[in-house]
Amino acid sequence: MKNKRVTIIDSRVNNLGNIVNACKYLNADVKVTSDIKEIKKSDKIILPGLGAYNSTMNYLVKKKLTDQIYEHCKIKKKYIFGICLGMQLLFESSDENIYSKGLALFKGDCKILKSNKDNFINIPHMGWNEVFLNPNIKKTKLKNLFNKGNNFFYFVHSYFIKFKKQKYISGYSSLGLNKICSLLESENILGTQFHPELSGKKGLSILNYFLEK
Amino acid sequence: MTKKLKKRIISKLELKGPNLIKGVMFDGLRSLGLAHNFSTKYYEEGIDELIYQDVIASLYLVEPKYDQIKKISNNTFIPFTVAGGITKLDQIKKIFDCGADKVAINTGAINDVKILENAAKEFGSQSVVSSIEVNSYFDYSSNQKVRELWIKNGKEKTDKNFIDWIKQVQDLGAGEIIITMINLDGLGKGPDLDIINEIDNIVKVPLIYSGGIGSINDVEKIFITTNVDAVCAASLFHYYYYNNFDINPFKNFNKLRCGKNIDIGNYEFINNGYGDVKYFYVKPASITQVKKKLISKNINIRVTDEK
Repeated sequence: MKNKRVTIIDSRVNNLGNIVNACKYLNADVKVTSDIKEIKKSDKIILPGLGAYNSTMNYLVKKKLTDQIYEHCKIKKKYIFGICLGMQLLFESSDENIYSKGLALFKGDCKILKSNKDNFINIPHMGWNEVFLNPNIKKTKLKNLFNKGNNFFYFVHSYFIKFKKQKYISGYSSLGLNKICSLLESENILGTQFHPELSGKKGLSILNYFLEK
Repeated sequence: MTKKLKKRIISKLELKGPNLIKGVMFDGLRSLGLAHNFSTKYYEEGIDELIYQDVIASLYLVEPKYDQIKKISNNTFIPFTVAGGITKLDQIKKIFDCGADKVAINTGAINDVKILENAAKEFGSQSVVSSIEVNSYFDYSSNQKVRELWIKNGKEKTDKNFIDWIKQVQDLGAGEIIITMINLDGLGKGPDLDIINEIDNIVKVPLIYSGGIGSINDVEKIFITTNVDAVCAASLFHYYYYNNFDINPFKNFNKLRCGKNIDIGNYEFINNGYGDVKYFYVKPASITQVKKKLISKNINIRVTDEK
């Protein structure tokens, strides 16, 4: 069996229990750390979700992890998986609480979910939603994990990345007035707006896809 | 209030120690087997969410059972809410470390409203659920329905006003509300649709209904006639999946009569019924059956892979 090793960046998120559990369930060797030396050594990292954009970003800056993450994905071309907020951090900026800059690996900004009387959404949006594949998607194995009509995943978020027809955005979801980027893949980078660790078997299959890369 | 969300099917696991129990009106508890067996099965069958309710923690002021929570969350990868005996922030932190995603608080919040407020500030309102246990009956002297709020898993009545409390918990930052009807619990005679419609325009957060759901038709009816976001059922699924574990005293009953002896739990109750209640009108159903029916009625739910 393949030796699946992964490092989860401890971004002071309250709830790492689930993602750690899920990785262990999939027989991965998991390390949770915010130590730059450990992160330098790892081939695969997960940037987990939940939390506020600016405070997580500040924490990454304080731990000198922003440059490290950039080097990890852009120069060394090693694997990274951003989940929820972790995916949003890969983009340029967010208006959450106060304007703050992200890791800027992709172009795009993070906006608050829109709703009106006819399309009322609670913020944060919590719940199951369907993910549709981008018709312009490059063919990867990720596509095989999706089948017709039942691609449901669990979301917890208040902010979202707008879906435009970028090729690296592999999947999108609709929520009232919003068209959300919910899945992205670009070579070594994988990102999901939903929580694969909370999305049942389908979610685990996405996580496993990353762990087996 | 119409909300643009997928409707959810939730199962409530009521626990006493390691056992999954089911009572009638929060009383006369029967033990059905080990809770983690049920939770894993439900997860595999495609339940959308699980709620863990420790039924004695608030009454005896004991700590949440972290090992037990871990045992369940280690094998289920869906949203998982923990309730029972939560009074402090560090308990919530520990519960989340065990792999839970949300906490639901009733007794703790009625005794001290600050716990809801502080928990919402510290962990975000998406992870704080206000659990509300309602006893409802018709008062002939005033000729109206009375809604009482109870705490300690149906052991103690409070003088809080139902409507005011629903408004208050939302102001305090609860991200979700679950109402459980004590007077209907475990009977399977059908849900109280009136109460959901009564509070429809004051509940701005997702609303979960629990209590009295005894058949697939009940689930369907509740989604068709109300704006509720999620239905929480216990007996409906417990008695169906009970077949899979241990011994099964209910196997040969169409109407769930209080059957033969089993070697765990409350014997007398099982043999003789609960007060006047000799039959439970639960028509057990599998999660797949419920979902199939809802899909055929065009209800917006999460679809899972067919087995």
